[in-house]
Amino acid sequence: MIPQQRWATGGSPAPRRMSPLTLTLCLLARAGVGGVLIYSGASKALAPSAEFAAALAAYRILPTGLIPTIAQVWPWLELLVGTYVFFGYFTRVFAGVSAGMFAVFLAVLGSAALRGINPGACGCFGLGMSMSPHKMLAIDTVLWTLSLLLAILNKKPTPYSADSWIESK
Amino acid sequence: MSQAKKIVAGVVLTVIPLVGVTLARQTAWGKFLATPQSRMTGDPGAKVLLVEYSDFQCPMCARVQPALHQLLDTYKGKVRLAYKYFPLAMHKNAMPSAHAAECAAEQNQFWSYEDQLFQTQPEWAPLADPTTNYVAIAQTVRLDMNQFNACYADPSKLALIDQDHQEGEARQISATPTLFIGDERLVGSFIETDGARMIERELRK
Repeated sequence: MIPQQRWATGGSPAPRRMSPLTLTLCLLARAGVGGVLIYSGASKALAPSAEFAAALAAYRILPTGLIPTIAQVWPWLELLVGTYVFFGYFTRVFAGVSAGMFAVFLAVLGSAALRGINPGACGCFGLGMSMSPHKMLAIDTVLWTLSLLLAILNKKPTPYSADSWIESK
Repeated sequence: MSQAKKIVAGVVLTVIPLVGVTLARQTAWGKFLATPQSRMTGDPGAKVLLVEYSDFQCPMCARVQPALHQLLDTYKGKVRLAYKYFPLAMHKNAMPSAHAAECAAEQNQFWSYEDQLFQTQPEWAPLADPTTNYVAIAQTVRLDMNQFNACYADPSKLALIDQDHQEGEARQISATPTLFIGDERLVGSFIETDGARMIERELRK
């Protein structure tokens, strides 16, 4: 079995059963990380991409020419990765991907904070960016940690996951 | 069997969210509601209509004003600009400033009043009651002060502002400034960088 398959299904060599605490943590992490990414991706994908492009531009970190493309692709990426994590499909792989995505958010937010940029104030985002940068940093740190824990701890398929359905006879 | 299940799960979990969100997306917004002549500038016969949704307390809205003036100069006779109110709830003086501007519009002085509001934004934006500043601007642009004061005291004008705001929300606007050029929209600093290109594209249609 190739390593990725072992990650995805938690297959052989079969580790011991997950402790109830680990199992609960993995289920909560799947629901939390997946749910947030689905909501965030869907709400951005449903809105005109120019809105998200303006929000990205407010951070003054990406080249202007790249922003419209990123604004069109990123919401769909969030939606799909969120769906895979929520429904436990290749859970460890996509938890790793979501950890990477939250690391990108943290880098962007941290960079803006260090440069004294408050995107919510310099752009005027009535609905989309009503949270303060510190609150967003705190939430993203929690979600990044949960993603990492899920990638590390989810060694066997958790209940109600696509991985457990794939493993079942 | 396991391989087939992986493929089935992958296809289902990819196609359902993609198709679901694509079907739920709003892609057409219909025609704009008419904007009063007092809040329109440029040649009435111009080919391209620019519709700006803006908030007088928004710093980015103030920043893009020179770019908008430049576009109107460069494409004189080819573009026309309509102003729509979109006061954001996060700005406590956005609604009063829109109210004052609407009172200037009533005297056909909207554009000079708007210009002054944006230029003096840092002075009145943080105030608990900016009425004195709005009155001073009204005097600067030589409004009839009795008419202005009566209008500013009349809450019925707020209905016009709400109407613009509701139209903006129906168009999925969540940030200001948003500029429509034909069916396309530019938000924030993209008005400065992409405005001319979008107008050129619209003129070629």
